[in-house]
Amino acid sequence: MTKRIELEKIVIDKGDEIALANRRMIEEAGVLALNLIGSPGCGKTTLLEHTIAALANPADGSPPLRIGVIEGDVQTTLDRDRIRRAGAPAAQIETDGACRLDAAMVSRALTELDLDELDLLVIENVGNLICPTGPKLGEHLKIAVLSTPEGDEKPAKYPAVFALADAAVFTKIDLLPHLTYDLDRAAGDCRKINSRIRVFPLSSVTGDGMDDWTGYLRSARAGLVAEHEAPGRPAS
Amino acid sequence: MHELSVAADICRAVAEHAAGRPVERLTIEVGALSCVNPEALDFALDEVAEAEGVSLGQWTIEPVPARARCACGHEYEAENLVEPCPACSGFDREYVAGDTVLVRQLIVVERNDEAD
Repeated sequence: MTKRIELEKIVIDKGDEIALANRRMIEEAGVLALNLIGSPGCGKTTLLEHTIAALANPADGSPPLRIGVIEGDVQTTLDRDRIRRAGAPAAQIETDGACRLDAAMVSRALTELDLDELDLLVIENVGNLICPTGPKLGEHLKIAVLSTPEGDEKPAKYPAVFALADAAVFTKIDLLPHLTYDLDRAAGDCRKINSRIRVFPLSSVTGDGMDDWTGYLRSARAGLVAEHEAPGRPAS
Repeated sequence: MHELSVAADICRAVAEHAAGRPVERLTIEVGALSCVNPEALDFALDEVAEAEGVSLGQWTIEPVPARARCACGHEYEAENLVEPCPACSGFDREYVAGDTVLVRQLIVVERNDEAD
């Protein structure tokens, strides 16, 4: 005799067990994790180099924050080497063709970093504005990165990542005089798609707008630490 | 073409949950915000299931649109994400569905040996 039974539903790409385990491990070390998503060449690594420097030596005298980076690329360790030269520990994931990172890849890369020596962990996803949108890696914040030369209509044309992101960074605003790019349109569309999104127009090379961005990271990290130390939090 | 890796994840998860029992039927939901293409996933499932020797039974892929809940209380399918809420023309909303890939239904056949 046989019977048909219906099993419980299975979530495939969001909040899966590996992503949750990554996040737990990262959080236990008091580290805030970001998942940085943007097209190839939008300036993710350059943004990180300058963010590392700005948080290591804050101009306003606030305490420094230590960043560690997991770099995702189809091949090479070029970006890992750039981050190390900028003074931060880094691990490289070479995806060998895959168009995005997944939680298992991040889990392996985490063994190369000493989380106890970090305050922030940035996972720089494979350069791609579409495919990395879905999978959770264990991050606290999803950050969409868009450069001005890509065009102001990109949030409207590729809305999913902006719908799910906590913040959008518009890089290369120093190029605005040379472009027909409407910053208000790009920012406006982001906010239409996602009214809770924080928007940070900046230039990594001139430093314009960097203070708002690093301030955001600083307060997000402080929020995480406060949440962890809050009285009444159930012991885990 | 990340649908191949999504298909591999589905095959792995289904095999694990079925635990050796034959799979009769599978319903997969693909959220619009997950950036997984349903047609490409259908193709990838064929390829991966065969390559991995996993039987998925009969499967259906259901696209799930992004679903928004507006501050005005209206809940609706958001087809174009830069368009406002059709009820109040506002943009203060959150997405409550359509951001994931899910095996919503998995039916396996279990043999009851005692009755044989």
